Amino acid sequence: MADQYGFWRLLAEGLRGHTGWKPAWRDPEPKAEYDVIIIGGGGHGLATAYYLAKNHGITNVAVLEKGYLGGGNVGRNTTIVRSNYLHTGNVLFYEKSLQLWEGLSNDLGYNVMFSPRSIINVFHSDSARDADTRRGNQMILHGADAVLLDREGIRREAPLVDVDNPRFPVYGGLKQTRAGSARHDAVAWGFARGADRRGVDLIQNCEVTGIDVRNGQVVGVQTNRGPIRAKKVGMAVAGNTSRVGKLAGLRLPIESHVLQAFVSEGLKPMLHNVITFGAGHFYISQSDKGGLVFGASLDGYNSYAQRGNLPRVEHVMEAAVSFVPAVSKVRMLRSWGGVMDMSPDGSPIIDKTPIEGLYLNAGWCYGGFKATPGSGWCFSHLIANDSPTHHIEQMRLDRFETGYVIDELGAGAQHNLH
Amino acid sequence: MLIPCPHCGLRPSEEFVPKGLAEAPRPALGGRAKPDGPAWQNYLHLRDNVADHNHEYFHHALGCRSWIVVHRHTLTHEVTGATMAADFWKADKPATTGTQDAKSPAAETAEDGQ
Ligand SMILES: Cc1cc2nc3c(=O)[nH]c(=O)nc-3n(C[C@H](O)[C@H](O)[C@H](O)COP(=O)(O)OP(=O)(O)OC[C@H]3O[C@@H](n4cnc5c(N)ncnc54)[C@H](O)[C@@H]3O)c2cc1C
Ligand SMILES: [Zn+2]
Repeated sequence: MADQYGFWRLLAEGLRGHTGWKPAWRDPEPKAEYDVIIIGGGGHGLATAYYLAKNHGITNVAVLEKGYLGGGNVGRNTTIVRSNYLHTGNVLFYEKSLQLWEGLSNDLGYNVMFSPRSIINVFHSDSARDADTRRGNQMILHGADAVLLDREGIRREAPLVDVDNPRFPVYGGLKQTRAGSARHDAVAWGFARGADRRGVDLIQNCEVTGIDVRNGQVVGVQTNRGPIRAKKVGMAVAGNTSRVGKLAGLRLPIESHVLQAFVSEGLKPMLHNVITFGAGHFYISQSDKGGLVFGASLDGYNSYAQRGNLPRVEHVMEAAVSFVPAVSKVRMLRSWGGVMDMSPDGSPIIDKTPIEGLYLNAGWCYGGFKATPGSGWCFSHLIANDSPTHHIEQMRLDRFETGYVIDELGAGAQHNLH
Repeated sequence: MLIPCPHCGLRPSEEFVPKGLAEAPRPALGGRAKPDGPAWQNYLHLRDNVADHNHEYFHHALGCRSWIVVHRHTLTHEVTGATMAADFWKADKPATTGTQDAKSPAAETAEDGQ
């Protein structure tokens, strides 16, 4: 069955007019009780269900999604996959995730179009070079890969970058060769299909409206399709974390903010890696369809609207043109926004909560797409065994109180700065 | 998005730098006493973060440089008023500045503080 979309199947279907395809997953009615309920059918919820079944043999699982699978941030991001982090608490986890990406299409029997086309973080000063050198060494120490490029290296690797920009001259860049991008929808669909085939119920149009707790222990959830019992409930609702947490009486260290992304008209190949601008926050790559895909930082104000404002659009276009002047000739096609679950130190939380049987997966800020397989891998382990894998030992919920934060940027406790 | 700075009047949002939700007052430093951990945790990190009317700190960085608290809706982005941050946590704070539309009931109703 793993070869449902394999060559022979495709050939056979081609010969009989594509009449034999079936829906990629079932559309089951919710049962009265499951061993585990996952709230949220985004990348992380689906990956968690998949690895619960695959790695831990727990298949009596439901994923409850209030809309449709993949309609949240997993279908709205700029798809950059990398593990070029500085702090141990992050790089260990993201490197695990990157390793899973490398075998993901084979594992799922579904082409997630992971394309390790490399990422280059360009820097524009001596001090930024020092910081990136330190980051590169730290990555290598944790088993990731990193190469330091000089100016000529940037000219060679990304000829469209304005290396001689008088205001922000390029000094070089930190390259991670194994990084790249993937097809966002395929990631959601691949995990969904894999989980469904292992017996997981994927229940769409099912909004969790209450979390039932008795004597400090989760006993189930209320939904718009009736109550469902479970002794273990995992939350993976990204931008809606505070609202779902509140259903269990939790006040969490999360603010919701809007991040915008942009795509241009389709063009011939002009950019073969992912590149980031070090003098402003800006990143750009070219999709397989030829569109330039890019984004920058948050709009900055708190938001649950999946749309941003024009001042940020202008700012992003300015950064684009300063970094890659050729973009000024390109027509933009569309822009959109997604709701980010911003944590006070910019790093995620994968942990138990004070409520027995209730698990939290949140705080992904704008970096959660790359985390999808790693998050599912580690969160499923936490739910199955009530203990973290070593990759997520620092991603604790109480770290803000204890001071053991993972502040990648050193920006301090302000949600919208990360 | 236009923001009604209590000092400068209605100004474009580009002039402001947002800092995040104003949900709890800043705890007192308390001299040499041991800091109040839970109060700081509450102030710095924890949020209700509602999809509804809320209060956010903004700095009028390219204007009068005041810190203000803006009353906004996080689903519609509608701005219903603003208060000087220095007054926001006072019990007898002055009235909120409304948006341009003087008849808008929002300016009066912008429920203050928590
Ligand atoms: C514009 C943009 C660009 C980004 N770029 C990148 C990038 O380049 N690289 C990267 O690594 N990351 C990126 N990200 C971040 C990444 O997309 C997110 O961190 C990640 O997708 C979040 O995890 P998820 O896929 O599980 O979230 P989602 O897909 O948002 O899933 C959460 C789901 O929970 C559901 N839900 C919410 N409340 C309830 C409820 N009460 N009951 C039932 N279901 C509920 C939602 O409907 C949603 O489907 C970007 C994000 C955005 C918006
Ligand atoms: Zn002002």
